[in-house]
Amino acid sequence: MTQKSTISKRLDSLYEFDREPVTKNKLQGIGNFLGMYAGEHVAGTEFVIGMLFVAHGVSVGDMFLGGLLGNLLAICSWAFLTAPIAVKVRLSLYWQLKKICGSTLVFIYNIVNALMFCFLAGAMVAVAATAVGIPFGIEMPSLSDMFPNSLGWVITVLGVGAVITVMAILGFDALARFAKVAAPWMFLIFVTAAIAVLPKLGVTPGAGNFWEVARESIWTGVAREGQSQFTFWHVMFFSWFANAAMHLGMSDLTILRYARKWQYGFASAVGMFLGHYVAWIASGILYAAAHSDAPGVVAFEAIGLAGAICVVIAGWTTANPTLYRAGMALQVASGWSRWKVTLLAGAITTAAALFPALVMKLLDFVALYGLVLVPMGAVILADFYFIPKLGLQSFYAEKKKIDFNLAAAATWFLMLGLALVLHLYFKIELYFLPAPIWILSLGAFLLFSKLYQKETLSTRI
Amino acid sequence: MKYFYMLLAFAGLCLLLIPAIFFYMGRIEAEFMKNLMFVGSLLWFSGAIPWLGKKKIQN
Repeated sequence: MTQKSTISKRLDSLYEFDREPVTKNKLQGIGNFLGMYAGEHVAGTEFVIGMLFVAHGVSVGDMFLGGLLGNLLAICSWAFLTAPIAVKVRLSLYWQLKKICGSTLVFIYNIVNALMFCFLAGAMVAVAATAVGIPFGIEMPSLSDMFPNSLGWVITVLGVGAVITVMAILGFDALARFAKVAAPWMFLIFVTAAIAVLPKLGVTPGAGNFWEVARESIWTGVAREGQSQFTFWHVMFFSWFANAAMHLGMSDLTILRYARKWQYGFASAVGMFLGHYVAWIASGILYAAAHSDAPGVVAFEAIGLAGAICVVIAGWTTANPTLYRAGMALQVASGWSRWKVTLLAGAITTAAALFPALVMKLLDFVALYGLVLVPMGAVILADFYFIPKLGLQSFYAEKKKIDFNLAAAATWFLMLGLALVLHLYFKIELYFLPAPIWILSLGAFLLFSKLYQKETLSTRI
Repeated sequence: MKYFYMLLAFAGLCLLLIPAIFFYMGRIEAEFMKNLMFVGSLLWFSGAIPWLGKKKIQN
């Protein structure tokens, strides 16, 4: 009991500064949200995702239409699901979850989130290592590599991981500012590198043969050896759920609570169309013209040193905030100081980065990341809109002073169990699971709350 | 001074875009394009860091 209350106090002190709803004088204009979404979604992951779509045999129509529709759905999820709750409640995800679920369940959620962040940062360390290793001539991993393929790779990853971890310990804020500065440059590098490789692919100025080349040499509709075949539906659902943790999972309540109006949720369009559409298309073009599966080599072949530097900076600036977030979550569990937990998160991240599978299977990992967190987003939405309409109590854990809301926990764990069964036994791919799991989570939480709140009431009486 | 940094940063972005287009049109060689793009990247960071990098980050 004492340990539980200590963890609860540590969590509260960590998020102390945002305990109260955001006040009117702290609200931000639309410009901040446009900049934030543009910067956050032009990242190291984009180099890999566009490339993997090509490897999975996406066709031109699938890429352009599936990406367009999927990204539109993602924007709508931000604007119509996340933003309205954010501007009405104006609390961060942590406090809102704590009021609904209680501190113990939020603690478990934080740990799961931290591990996910570590693996995501690990993928970015590996991406950066593919560029750092170029001058040393190390053997780069290929699409089918799951394990470290050379001593050179291991040494490079350990070096990059160590530098990224130390930099995150020494100056997270400075690096976060540097990431904002690098974002417009990174986007332009994506676009210009794609333009530069067009002649290599056979696109000639004035010939109007881009679509023909795109169909025959880039998005051919035929998966590379050892890769599963992707369709329109894969691209659409992946584009929709690439950031499912942020919109359906409600992580962006923390950011959008500063918005003056719910319509600011549409600012996500900038990130989706620059990062998740143009940049994915550009990285697909780059990959089709390259002789390697390693993002660093792909960019270096296209535009030389500027491309390789871009891959290092993209990986580094994406890994930095991810390490920071993982450190924050782990800090609660350990009670250690910030530098120690960042070191721990860095060690987990670097160990994960040794395995190229993390990069080569990034699509699956990103889908899994969203899937694991969306049931809790559904819990927040159900608690806000539907629980009061059923005559039940919103923010139940806070009102009843409980640490563990059984209805929310049962929803989360059961839905993850169901997703596991659907994936392993019914062979439904991860990309298609977040939507049904999110909808089922809404229903499950309402049903369990009906039973649980009645049960708790009768027990207390 | 702010305008000088802005100018430097925009010059950097131009040195990324223009060489790529010229190379695509067959007007310059690949090596020259790569060198210009590297210089463009250096210019961007020399201008953008003092111009945009001082702003405090929200959240």
